[in-house]
Amino acid sequence: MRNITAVSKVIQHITNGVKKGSYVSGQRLVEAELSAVTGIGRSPVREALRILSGEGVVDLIPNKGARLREMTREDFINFVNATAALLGVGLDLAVEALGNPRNARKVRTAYQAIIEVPAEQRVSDFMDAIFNFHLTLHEITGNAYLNKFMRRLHFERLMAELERTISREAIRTYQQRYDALFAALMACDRVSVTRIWTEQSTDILNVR
Amino acid sequence: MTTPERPVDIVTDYVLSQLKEGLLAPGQRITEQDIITTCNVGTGPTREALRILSGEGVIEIVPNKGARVLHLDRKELLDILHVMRGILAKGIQLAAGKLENAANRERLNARLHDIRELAKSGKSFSFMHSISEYHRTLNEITGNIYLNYLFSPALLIHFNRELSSIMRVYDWEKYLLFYEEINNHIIFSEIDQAMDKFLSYMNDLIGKLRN
Repeated sequence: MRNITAVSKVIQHITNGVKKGSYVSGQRLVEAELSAVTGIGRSPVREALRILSGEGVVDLIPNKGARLREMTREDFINFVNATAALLGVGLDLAVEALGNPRNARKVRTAYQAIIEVPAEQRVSDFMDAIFNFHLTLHEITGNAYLNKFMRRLHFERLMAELERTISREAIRTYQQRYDALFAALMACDRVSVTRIWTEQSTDILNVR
Repeated sequence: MTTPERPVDIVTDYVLSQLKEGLLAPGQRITEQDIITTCNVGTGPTREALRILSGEGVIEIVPNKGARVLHLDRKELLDILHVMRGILAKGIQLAAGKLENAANRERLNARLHDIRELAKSGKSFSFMHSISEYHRTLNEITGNIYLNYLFSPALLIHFNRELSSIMRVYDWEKYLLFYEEINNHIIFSEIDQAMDKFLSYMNDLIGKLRN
């Protein structure tokens, strides 16, 4: 299985590109170009594109490579609903794990990065802080499947989508939301965690 | 007209049926050469299929040696159950209003019928799997493809196999009754009640697995 790492590298190159915005939805991905940029052979590149097609990230164009799938409004809603469910599991399980002071410190650090994002900062930096906050929560629960499933969803697609659509003004609202979420988590207040999370997910559903 | 099956699907279907029959056990090796010979496909589709199954969390790739079926221990089964509880609950929530459609009701009732039949069979795996199939159908009805994407058929078969190997179902009647009630509530769009029942079922299962 020599090719496994090569295939993974191509997949990573594409998903990183989506996250950084160097690849945008609708864009053509030409096999030969991907091969040249990554220095990886045509055959692993083709395999990577086929896998990403199965995962809904690209559409294959016969003999021509692939195109990054555009997220329709329906796609976006489904994606947000599925992600909200997954992150919701993380929030729920984190409540117990926060009893451990070391875990609480880790989460506090991740939370401060969200709050301390200055108003003039780019939306992408803010989204990174949010992303990292949830990854940290998942980590302290000790449930490896949370982050496995996040990777499987290609979460960076949603982040890229939100970076494009969320206004700078919304950052302030979300900061307050995460402020309340953090407080509820620390207070082991499951009911409030669920309520705040529902509000946040509903807000995100409505950005597009 | 049916489209011919793609080579990569032939391989994944083959591995899936082997898992379902219990012919592929955790820890067991799958070599590329075996698949190529048995399925009569090339190296490319074989590797692609193994890569997909590894992404779904069913097998792990062993460098230069093919792949191996992953063993799920109690902790991992619990981890999966926790995530499953959240994702399947979302499916129930999103089903609100979708069961006004008679065809959808029929599809869901057919899955409940399977659960009833298998409750009589005394086979833990088949019974647990019929419950998974119920939720897959419900997720399909919601139209949200990502819910079923996370819990792929291969992962569910593997998960149910491993779960039923360490946990026998004794309370058939109780579990069946849960689903009779869940189904009733869903059909009448009583989502809160359906959710309560579903969460009691899952928490019961999680509690049993913990001990």
